Amino acid sequence: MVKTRLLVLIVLLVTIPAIVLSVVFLTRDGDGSGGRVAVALVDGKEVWSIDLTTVNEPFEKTIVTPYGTNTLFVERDRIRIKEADCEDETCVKTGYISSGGAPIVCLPHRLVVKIVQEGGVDAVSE
Amino acid sequence: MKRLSAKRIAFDGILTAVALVLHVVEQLVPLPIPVPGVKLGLANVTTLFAAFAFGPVDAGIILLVRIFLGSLFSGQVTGLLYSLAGGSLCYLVTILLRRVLSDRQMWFCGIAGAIFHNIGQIIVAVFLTSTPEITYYLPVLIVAGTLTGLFTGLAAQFLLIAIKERTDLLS
Repeated sequence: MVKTRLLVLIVLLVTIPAIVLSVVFLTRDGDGSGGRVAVALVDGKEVWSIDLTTVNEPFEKTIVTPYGTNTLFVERDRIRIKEADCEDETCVKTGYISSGGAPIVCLPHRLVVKIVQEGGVDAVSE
Repeated sequence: MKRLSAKRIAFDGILTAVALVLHVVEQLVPLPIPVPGVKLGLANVTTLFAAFAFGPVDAGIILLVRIFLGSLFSGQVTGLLYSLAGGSLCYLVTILLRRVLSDRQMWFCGIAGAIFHNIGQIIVAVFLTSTPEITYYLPVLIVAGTLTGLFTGLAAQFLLIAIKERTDLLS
């Protein structure tokens, strides 16, 4: 039988880095330069996108997927899912995203909203 | 309980029923964590218990029946894919660890099972949505799996030890 002390050590070795990475990934913010384009994907295919730096008045955008409907709330530099007719509404609870970190995910509707830096490498080199 | 005795079939039936009840109860308790895929995994208490008390075959049967009937109850086909991927990874880890762990180390099995369950779900999510960025949630799901797995693992552990010490049901 394995020593219990070893099991505790394994748990700590896995969990502590995971806590650090969680904080890093979820609080990560973009470098603030260049455009920020929000992209909505259903089944991995882009269905809609918008340059968030050009948004002056907040507005709503409804995305209809074969699996259900989500309503996005678009503001300058940030975006969230306002409504969803899925069971868990995890995507609504995720709240705003404004950077290229963790995307908003609605698993039941296979919808992902993520933010990409417009121009990619070019924007960085300028 | 090596042979397919009436007692063993009865036990498997009861555990499957308990697993389904836990599966339904769990959906009534929403967690305030805004991360896709985080749940308590209460039903895994029964899989863990069955694996340690009876062995891989019983645990596997209970798990499969629970996953198929459970997704029938909630009426989501997509949920079935996630449950199958998560459940089978969790099951494999559980029956492998069972060989090297004692009854009083079941809590570790709970943690490892929960973490691998979440890894299985992430893989399916990345595949279904073709979005590799979903792996950003992996560390959070590992932390969540540690907490929920410790909880379910200890629940199964206390249950098994109590039944072994106070009754002769498993002898």
